[in-house]
Amino acid sequence: MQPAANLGTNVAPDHNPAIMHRFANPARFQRIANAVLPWFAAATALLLAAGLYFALFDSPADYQQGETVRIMYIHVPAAWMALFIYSFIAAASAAALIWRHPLADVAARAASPVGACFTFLALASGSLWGKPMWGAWWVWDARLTSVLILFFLYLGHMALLRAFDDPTRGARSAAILALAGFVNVPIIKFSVDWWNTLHQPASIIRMGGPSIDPSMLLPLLLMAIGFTTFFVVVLLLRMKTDLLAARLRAAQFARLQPATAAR
Amino acid sequence: MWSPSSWRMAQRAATWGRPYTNFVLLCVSASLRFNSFAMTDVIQAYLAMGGYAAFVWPAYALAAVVLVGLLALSLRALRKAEAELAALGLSKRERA
Repeated sequence: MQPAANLGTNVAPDHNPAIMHRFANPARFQRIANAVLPWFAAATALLLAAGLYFALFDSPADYQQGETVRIMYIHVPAAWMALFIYSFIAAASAAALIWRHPLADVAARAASPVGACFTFLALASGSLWGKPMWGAWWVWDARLTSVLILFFLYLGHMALLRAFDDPTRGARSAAILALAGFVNVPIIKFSVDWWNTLHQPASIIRMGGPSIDPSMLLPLLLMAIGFTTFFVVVLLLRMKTDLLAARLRAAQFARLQPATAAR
Repeated sequence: MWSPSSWRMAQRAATWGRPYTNFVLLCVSASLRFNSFAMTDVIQAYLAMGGYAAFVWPAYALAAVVLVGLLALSLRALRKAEAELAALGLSKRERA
């Protein structure tokens, strides 16, 4: 087992090994990730296949919206993932800033592009739904505007991570941005209650339980859980890549200085 | 009041549920469009998505492209990192 000093250059210089959580060990993380990945990949394939079957075949058309309601099975799970992943990044950023957990920075960096993709999907599928139903590709209503801001926050997070020569400074700045932007998440959730919006009010996560028909709730939940397992798969792949890249940098650095190389 | 064929259809709908009902509705919409219809017409009626095909299918296609693309890019980056580490000729112990 390599000593802790042989970790990559993106570890905070003053981190205390005594408080390092047992799961922070990158070698242990690689082993856990390799063990867990095939199961999540299989679950993703099954859930998305079942979700798409119910979404496209075994669910009714809406009495008002017709077949466009099938866009909901892409739009709503993507929007849920956008919010969930941002909350995940905010939690990881807090862990990185407060406890200096070495894997927290890696997790936030890996999750950011996935969240940006889901936010883009939510916005684009929403536009495709809005044009036939509302008559407009875009309106500056509270929910659409706050989700657009969420998309810019994701892009800003990704840009900040790469903006500094020292990756530690980039990670810290991005973590502060993620935490500052977290106020947007409850704003998005409650925007349909607080403002007079064109976007419909909450029909699933609300007081009194879901008001959506079970025949539509099933494909919705299947797609949402399928998207979540997909996120876990891509997150683990990207975290593995990040840790391998760090080890590569450390190995290249050690080879350049044979007299002081760590054993 | 109901014809025997209506009874049979209702019986089958009760047994096979919504996929059968959707299929029957597709056959009806196809038969309204064409004088006599074949399976290809039913498939065409399905793909038309009640007239909203230009909105529904691009949404699903975009989701497929974005998510599969993201997965492919992530896998490619991982393979590249693994290959670079292997190329450095590190022992298994060092690589762990």
